[in-house]
Amino acid sequence: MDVPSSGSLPDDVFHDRCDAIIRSVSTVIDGKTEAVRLALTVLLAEGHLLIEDVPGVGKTMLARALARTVDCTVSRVQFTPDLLPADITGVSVYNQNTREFEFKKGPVFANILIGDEINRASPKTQSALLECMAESSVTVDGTTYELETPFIVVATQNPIEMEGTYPLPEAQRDRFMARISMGYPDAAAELEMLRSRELSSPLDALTPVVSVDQLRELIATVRRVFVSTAVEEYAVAIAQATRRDPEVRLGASPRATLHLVRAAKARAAIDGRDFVLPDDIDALAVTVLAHRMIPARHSAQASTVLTGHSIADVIERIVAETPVPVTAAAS
Amino acid sequence: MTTTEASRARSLRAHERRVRIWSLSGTLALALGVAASSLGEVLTEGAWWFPYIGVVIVVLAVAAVAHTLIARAWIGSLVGAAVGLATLTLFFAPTTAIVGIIPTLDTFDRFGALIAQGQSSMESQRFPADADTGIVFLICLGAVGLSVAMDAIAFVLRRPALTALPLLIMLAVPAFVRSELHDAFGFAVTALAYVGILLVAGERTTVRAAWPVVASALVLALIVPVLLPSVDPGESSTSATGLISTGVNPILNLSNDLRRDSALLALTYFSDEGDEYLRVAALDEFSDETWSPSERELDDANTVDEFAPAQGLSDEVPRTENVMQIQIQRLRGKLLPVPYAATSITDAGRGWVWEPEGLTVASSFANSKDANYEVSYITPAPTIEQLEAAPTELPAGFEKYLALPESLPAVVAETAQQVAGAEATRFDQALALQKFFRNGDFTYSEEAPVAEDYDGSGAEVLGEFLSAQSGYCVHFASAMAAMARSLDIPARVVVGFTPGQRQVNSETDEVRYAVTTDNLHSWPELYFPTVGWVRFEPTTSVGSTPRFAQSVNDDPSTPDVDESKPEPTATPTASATPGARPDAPRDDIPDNSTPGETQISPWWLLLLAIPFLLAIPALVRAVRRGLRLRAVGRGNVALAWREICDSAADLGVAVSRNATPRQQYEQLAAQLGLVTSGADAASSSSSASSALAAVLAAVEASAFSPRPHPVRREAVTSVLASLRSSAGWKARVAATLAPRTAFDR
Repeated sequence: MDVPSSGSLPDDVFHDRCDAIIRSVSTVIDGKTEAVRLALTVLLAEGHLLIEDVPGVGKTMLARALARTVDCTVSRVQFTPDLLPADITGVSVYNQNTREFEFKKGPVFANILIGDEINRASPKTQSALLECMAESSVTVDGTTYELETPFIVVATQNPIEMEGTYPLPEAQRDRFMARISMGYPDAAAELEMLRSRELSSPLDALTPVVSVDQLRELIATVRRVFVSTAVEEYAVAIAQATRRDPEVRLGASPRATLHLVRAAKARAAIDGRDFVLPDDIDALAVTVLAHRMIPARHSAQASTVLTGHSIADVIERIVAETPVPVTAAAS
Repeated sequence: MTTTEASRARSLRAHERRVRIWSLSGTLALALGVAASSLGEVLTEGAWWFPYIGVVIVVLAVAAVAHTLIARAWIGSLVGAAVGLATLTLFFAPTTAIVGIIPTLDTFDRFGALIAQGQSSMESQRFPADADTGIVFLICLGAVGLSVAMDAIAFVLRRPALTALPLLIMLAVPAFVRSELHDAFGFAVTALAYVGILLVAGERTTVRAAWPVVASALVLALIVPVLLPSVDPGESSTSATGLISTGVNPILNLSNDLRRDSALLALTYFSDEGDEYLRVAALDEFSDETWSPSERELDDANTVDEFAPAQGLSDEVPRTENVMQIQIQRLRGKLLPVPYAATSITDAGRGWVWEPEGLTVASSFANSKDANYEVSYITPAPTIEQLEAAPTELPAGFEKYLALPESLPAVVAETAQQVAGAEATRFDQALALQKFFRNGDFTYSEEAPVAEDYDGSGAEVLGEFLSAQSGYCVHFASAMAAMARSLDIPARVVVGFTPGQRQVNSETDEVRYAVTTDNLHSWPELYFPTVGWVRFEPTTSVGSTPRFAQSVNDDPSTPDVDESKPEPTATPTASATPGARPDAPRDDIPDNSTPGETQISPWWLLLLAIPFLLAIPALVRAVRRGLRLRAVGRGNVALAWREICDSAADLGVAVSRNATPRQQYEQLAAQLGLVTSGADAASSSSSASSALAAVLAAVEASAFSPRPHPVRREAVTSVLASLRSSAGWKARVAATLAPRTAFDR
């Protein structure tokens, strides 16, 4: 790569820091490098991450490990059905000494907020959090408080078929940049996990590898990644195709397109490039788009179960059908 | 999915397959049927079309049935070919075959004879030609070949875009035969049918792929006539009647030029001697059917800057030396008209050589079109005494000038004996023959021979001519030459022009002679030792007898009395011919105006053109590659990548068209055997992989980064080379001769 433009980190510095984060997180999440890379991608793109999977595969472990490798303020909220919005945003309490109301900041005032099992909270509470996510500010009693930067929510949830959950409304799922799932570890990784967890939690051994300032530098570098018109048009073409597709009831929103390109920038940077390739878009399309889209009724769950035809398959088909810009440029 | 559903799905698929096969076969038949409209240009009437389309439909239908039953497509095409052969056998040679359809060796002999018949029929007919049995057989044979080719291309090769080639062959036929493309409508309809094929064939080929094919077809149709030195119509507006060609054996079609409604200006000339007969060809072989030039190779050493001396002309014979300026107008062909006896030609252009016996001028490749040349010639003026004193012994090699076909009716020799047998010398015998034809018993008519069916110059018609006593120059010339031969006088028939009409330019006072189709003529030349070949004019009321010969006609002692003067006044010919002849009363034009000794059969030209047509995909591909590599030199990196992917596809490597460069890179790397993933390939030791990675990096940078990255042309060519070397030889041959991406967009 050539010399990066001003404001960006030198290529090798950027690469070293990313490497350090990935290596550090990977020590606690065995054999899930791809999930870790995706998580880092979302982190660097300043997006919110939704980790969705069955219980016990390490969703929370990933979220905590990610938060721990960065030396920043981290808060964690265990979502339950009786959790109230004020438990997230904070409350005004009467200080008897000063005889004034005083704002007690909630857990949302942190760089990284880990929301465990977000779909167990009532929709009202979910909304409170998700509004913070969209606006990066909290208004309590007529006063607006700015959240810290970066502000990143890493939420975990169980699949909606599980009991005792409130599925996130689609409008709110849209606020998450990406949804990843962990998947079960393979036999070797599971065995390794058994041995390493015997004595202590591996999280305890984890030390921060980047400071919050360094994280801001990384994010600034990602923002400067170049996106060519061709790639932008490619992303837009994919998003528009999802809206036209007969198998899709709700297609990707414009915010989804924005998130897709931002995530692609981060992926390009992690890959050591300062420009985005169509490959970045291809690789992230399912991760970024799938959780926001709803399959059409006639091809919905029933046939999904029968044919294995999920919304991810639809997205992959759309991506395969959308003309790749370089080919068009060559004709 | 239950078994019922599965079987239903299967039968649905089979149904779709059947529909596809039949609709594609139907479109192929439609396209071939429409493309045959091009033959309407060169053939009269349209009855030949029905056997043609019948054969096409039979072949394609049988092949389609076979395709629906048998999965292997090549078997279907083979079955179609076999049934096509059986159909030909049934209609053209049923008696030679087992059960009428299974061909035997005799069948193929019969086919060979039919092909020869068709060829000679095409050579001997003027276009548009009548589709006789031979020509219809050639058409049906072509129908089988083209149908099988179309079927194989569409079903075996699965490249419907290439069906353009057989269609092109069909469309190109008139261009080869007639040097022009009249039938733009037929061409357009065929192009539409072709687009239909592409639409029916669907998926992989797009209709846009048709445009390179259509474009090359148009170029072909326009270029071929320029490249081929074949017949050329004089006036396109009058279609077939508008040309004066010297392409084919003249004696066969001369009558058509004679019966032309309006005369065409063939050439103009000026000579200080005045008017002259102009010779085009000397016909010395007399067969059952016709007079024709004997087959002699043209000798390139006989360049026209110096001719051989005239045969048999001794130094004692008086002569005058003259110069003639000739300008060709509407005459086309590989023969140049010259007076007798030419000694040299200047300014005629390259390729013209003289023929040693006839002293005519021919070429194997040049065309008389627009020729403007100067001929130096001598005019022998033998005295009566010299002619009468000519010895009777003939030089060696003159036996052929005495040969008569066995089918010659006896009446010819009997009449000759009766008319001239009593004369003392050979020359007197010749004069007696000439006088026999010109003494008033014979009449000139271009219509009588046609009406009574003895048109032509062959041996068999001479008897009828002698009894009917009516005919035109070919009959007179042929009869006199044959009778002379029967009297042991060497004789040949010459085709050429009578002197033409004298014209004076009122402004410049320039004199020239205008020679038109009405001046087409044939006459006998007789040979007298020590004097050489002497022209006679048996055709009554036409032309002029030679001065030395005239004298004997009426008064042998006054050789200079010009007998030609009474002739024009006595022109029964003028009245015998259609009134459209403006001013040339010499209607006795020889029936077959042009000797076509070097004319190549159009079918052979077609055969030669097939490799060219087949080479079109390779040429298109090569040109594209060249253009792309040049564009690479100018910095268009995307085209470099496209070229690499197309070359790989040509070699049979599966490279997705709609994939990112990096994904295509993975596929290419797999083909090249590079153990690599993604861009890390740059670190690979192999030069091919580093070149490929370099090109990939440049492509990605140029397309998606703010800093366009050049690529070295050498890197691209080295990738192309390593791709080729990684493929098997079969794939390489296929990629060169039949590149899959030739017509892709």
